[in-house]
Amino acid sequence: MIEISSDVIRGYNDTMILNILIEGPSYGYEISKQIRMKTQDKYIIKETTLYSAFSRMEKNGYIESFIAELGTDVNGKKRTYYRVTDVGRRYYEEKCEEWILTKEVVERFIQK
Amino acid sequence: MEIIKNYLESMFASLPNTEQVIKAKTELLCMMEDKYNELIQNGESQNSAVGTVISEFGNLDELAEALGISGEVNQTNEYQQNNPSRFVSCEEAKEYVAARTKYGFWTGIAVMLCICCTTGPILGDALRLPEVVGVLLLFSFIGIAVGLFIYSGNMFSKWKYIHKERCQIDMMTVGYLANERKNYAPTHSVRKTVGIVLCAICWVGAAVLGSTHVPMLEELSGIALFIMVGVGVFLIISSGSRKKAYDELLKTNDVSTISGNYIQEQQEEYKSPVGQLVMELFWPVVTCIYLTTSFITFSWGMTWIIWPVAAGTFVILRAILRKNEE
Repeated sequence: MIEISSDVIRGYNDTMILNILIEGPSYGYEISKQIRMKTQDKYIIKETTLYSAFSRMEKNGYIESFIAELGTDVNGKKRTYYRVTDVGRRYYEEKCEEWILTKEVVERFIQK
Repeated sequence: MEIIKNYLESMFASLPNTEQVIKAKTELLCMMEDKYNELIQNGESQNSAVGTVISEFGNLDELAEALGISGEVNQTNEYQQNNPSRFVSCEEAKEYVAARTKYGFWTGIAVMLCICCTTGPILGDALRLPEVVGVLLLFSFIGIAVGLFIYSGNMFSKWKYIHKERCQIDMMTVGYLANERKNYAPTHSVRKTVGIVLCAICWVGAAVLGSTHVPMLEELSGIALFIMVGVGVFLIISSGSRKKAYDELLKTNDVSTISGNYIQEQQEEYKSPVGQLVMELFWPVVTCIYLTTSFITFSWGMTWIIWPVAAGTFVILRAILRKNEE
């Protein structure tokens, strides 16, 4: 079975994460689960990839993190949640346009 | 879940101990925990859940940039390639402690025999035996001692790599050893103190026997002195050996890394360097005071009071100067 090359998808991990965060704030595992479900198990994002994306995007101001205590959890476990910023939304839209262009260009060279 | 924690600990073990790194570790552990819990809820076996979580973890090189430690990671990788550190498992660590304890015991016995070897001639003399018997006893003591030195040295030689090579232990072993060391600390200090006291008051036995006015006992008074010193030295060597085994293992990890962090906290027992110094010098100073006053006044019957007083003072000083432990 063919697997997605991490080199190719690298540039679009941020897009996927932003897409999920635009629907509402979320946390690490939940986001990775969403990506997995949306791609029907075709792409499983590694924990380290996910964390480096969070850290990079936070630095660039695309997302913000906040700590939320889980009321339902018996242990009162604290979790880091992320939410998208306005800069992040704009960046997401740019990336979407970029992808449409990229896809169009690459597509011309793909034999079906 | 323990396996996952240990896996993460070992991945992070050689990274610098910075806030960013700790944050990343906590966050990654949280994600892995969530994933693990969900897999278990979906009916996967523990083993397969652990396998999935670890296989989908990724690798640390990818994190380097996010943690602002690209330089360090490359440096560490390069350094580790040039100076590979040998991994010491928990089992090996336990065996090492046992071996070193045994080594300390037999070396202690051997040193004691060397110190006590003079008892042979003294005993022979006192019992009016031919001179040769005493000399034979002396040499057989030394002979046995040499035998023990060689035996224990050989037995211990396979562990020499722990002292010579760069070694690494995982967090579970660190936790285990630190706990063992803490449990052993009271025994160690009692044995060491008894040992030091025995050496310091070795004159007492000889003095008591010497003042009995029984010719036989007076002649044997020298033996009492050597035996007390011998036993004292044995106690110091044998108990120190086990403690050194824990210390040696606990300092294998680099202190500037995550895995070294733990030991660094543990090492300083007292609040200030001055306190540390005072406590280290306490017993030698007391011993000096005791011997000086005793020799000057020659009232051995009184000067022993110094010991219980000193012991009381020691406990109080320790309570004041020691770091508060949570």
